[in-house]
Formats: sequence, structure tokens, C-alpha cells
Amino acid sequence: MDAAQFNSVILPLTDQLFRMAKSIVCNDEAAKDAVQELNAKLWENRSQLDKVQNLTAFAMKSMRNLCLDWLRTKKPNRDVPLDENLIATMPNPHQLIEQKDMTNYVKQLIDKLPELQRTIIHLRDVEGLEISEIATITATTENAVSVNLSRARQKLRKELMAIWNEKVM
Amino acid sequence: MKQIDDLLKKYFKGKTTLQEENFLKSYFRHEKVLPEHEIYKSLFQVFDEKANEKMAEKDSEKKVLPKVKRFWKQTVAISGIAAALLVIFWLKPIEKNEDFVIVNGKKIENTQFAQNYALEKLNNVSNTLENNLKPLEAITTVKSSMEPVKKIPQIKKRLEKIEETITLNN
Repeated sequence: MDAAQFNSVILPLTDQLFRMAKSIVCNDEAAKDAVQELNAKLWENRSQLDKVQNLTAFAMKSMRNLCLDWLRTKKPNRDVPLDENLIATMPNPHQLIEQKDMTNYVKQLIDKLPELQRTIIHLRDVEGLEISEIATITATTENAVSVNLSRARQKLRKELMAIWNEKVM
Repeated sequence: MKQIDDLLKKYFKGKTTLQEENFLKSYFRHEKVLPEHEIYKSLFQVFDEKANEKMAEKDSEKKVLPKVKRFWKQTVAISGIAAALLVIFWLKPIEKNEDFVIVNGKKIENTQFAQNYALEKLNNVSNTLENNLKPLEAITTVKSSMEPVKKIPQIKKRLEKIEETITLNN
């Protein structure tokens, strides 16, 4: 792969890779660093990219692996079960009257999901990928993707209903 | 609206297709949704927001915030430099060097460079003149060598007089 092909195939994925990285590391700066690091690595190994069939899936998978490494080295205990973690940070229902507060709260809920569920929610609901593509990127089975997707959505629904009920009452 | 309820049930079970999910997203993009669906509006709104997020925008956002701080930092720094320069000029007026030469259309204020350049050019002129005047020197030599030839008419006249004198005596 020459420079022109690299610029036309890999660089347009930058925003998608950034969103993916951000969904895993939950940090803008770290996500940007991760994208730049991945781009540099892909550029160094560009001669081997010709052999890759689905470059988007390959890049997304590489991005996830890079971010997981980052999480392991920087924040080893980042994933905390949703229910335990939210008790401390849950806002008062009266603080959630504004829609903006609600969207911020939903973002927090998503960020608190376990990494795999967070990534699957991101790839499906934000990037709109097929279950088979998500299975390739996350190196799991399609069944595992469906199960984790369902669990993640139900957790979000449960939390939303809880806060909504308190708000209404 | 039963369709939306059914789709939502399917959605939370993770059984919806991408097409059905897109239908739900477009429904929740509307300003007004049914009160019983309000609870999920923010969820789909967040997905839309995240999908439109760009790395470049994040950069520009970050650049906007420090601009205000940077403006003040720059102002303070520039003011400091200006004040320092004023003090220096006040304590020691600059001896402005107004000597300059134009070399190949460029203004040169470096005196040493200008002197060397001028010397070099003068040497070139000197060498050129020296080379060009060499033929003239040869002409001078020829001229001086030709001086005796100029005396030939005089010698001729004298010889004629001598011949006349000899003839008369005979």
C-alpha cells in the first residue's frame, strides 16, 4: 500500500476510530493519542495491509486492542459494575429536569458499562454495524455479541426507568 | 404507536435489525414523541450525538478554550518585551549604522562583508586592467624601438649633403 492508498483508505477512518477509542477509554486526549499511535503503526506496516480483506474491521479491531492495552497499563481497575458504581454518582432526579442533563446522564450510564458491552453498544447503536462485523472486531461469536447487546440495553433501560420514575414522582 | 412499542421491546432484547433501529432513531429525532416514549428520547439522542463526533472538532474545541488565556499570556509577554526594549533604548541610544551597499539588488549593512566585497571587486578590476594593458606595453616597446628609424630621413639628408660636398670638392 503506497502513500496515496493509505491516505484514501486509512485516514478517512480517523473519526470512526476516534469514536471507537473514546468509547473504550472514555477520554478525549487518550483517544486522540490512540488514533495517532494506530495510524503510525499502520503506516509502518503498510506493506502488509494489502493482504487484509476488510481494512475497516481490521483497523477497528486493532484500535480496540490498543485501547485495551492502554486501559490495562493506565487504569487497571476501570470497569466497575454498573449498579455499585452509580449509587455514588447518581444525580438527584430534580437535577435531571433538563434534557441536557438527561443526555449527560445517559452518557455516564454508557461509560459505566463493562468494556465489552460498551464497545458492542457503540459499534451497533452509534456506528450501525452488523452483528457479524461486531463479532469480528471484538473477536467473539455472534451469539456473544447478541447476548451482550441485549444485557447492555436492558441495563440502560433499567437505569433510565429508575431515574424517570423518581423524576415523575 | 403500537409499532414503536413493539420495536422498543425487540430493541431492548437485542433482536431488532439495523433497519428497525434506524426507524426508531428517526422517530426519536422528532421534537415531540409520545409521553410514554420520552424516557428513551435521551438515549437515542446520545447515540446521534456520538455518531456525529469528529476528532478534528475536538481539536478545534480545545483550541477555542485556551485562546482567551493565550491572548492574555501573549499580551503580557509582548508588553514585557516592549517595556524592556524601551528601557534599553532609553539607557543606550542606538548608534544607527546608516552605511550600506547594494549587492545584486540586496541591501548589505555588514561593514566587514561590504569591505571584503569591494576589495574583491577592485582586485578583479585591477587584474582585468593589467591583462588588457599588456598589448599596450608591447606597442610602447615597438614605439621606442622605432625611434632610430625616425632618424633615417635626417641621416639621409646628411648623407646627401656629404655627397654634395664631395662632388664640389672634386
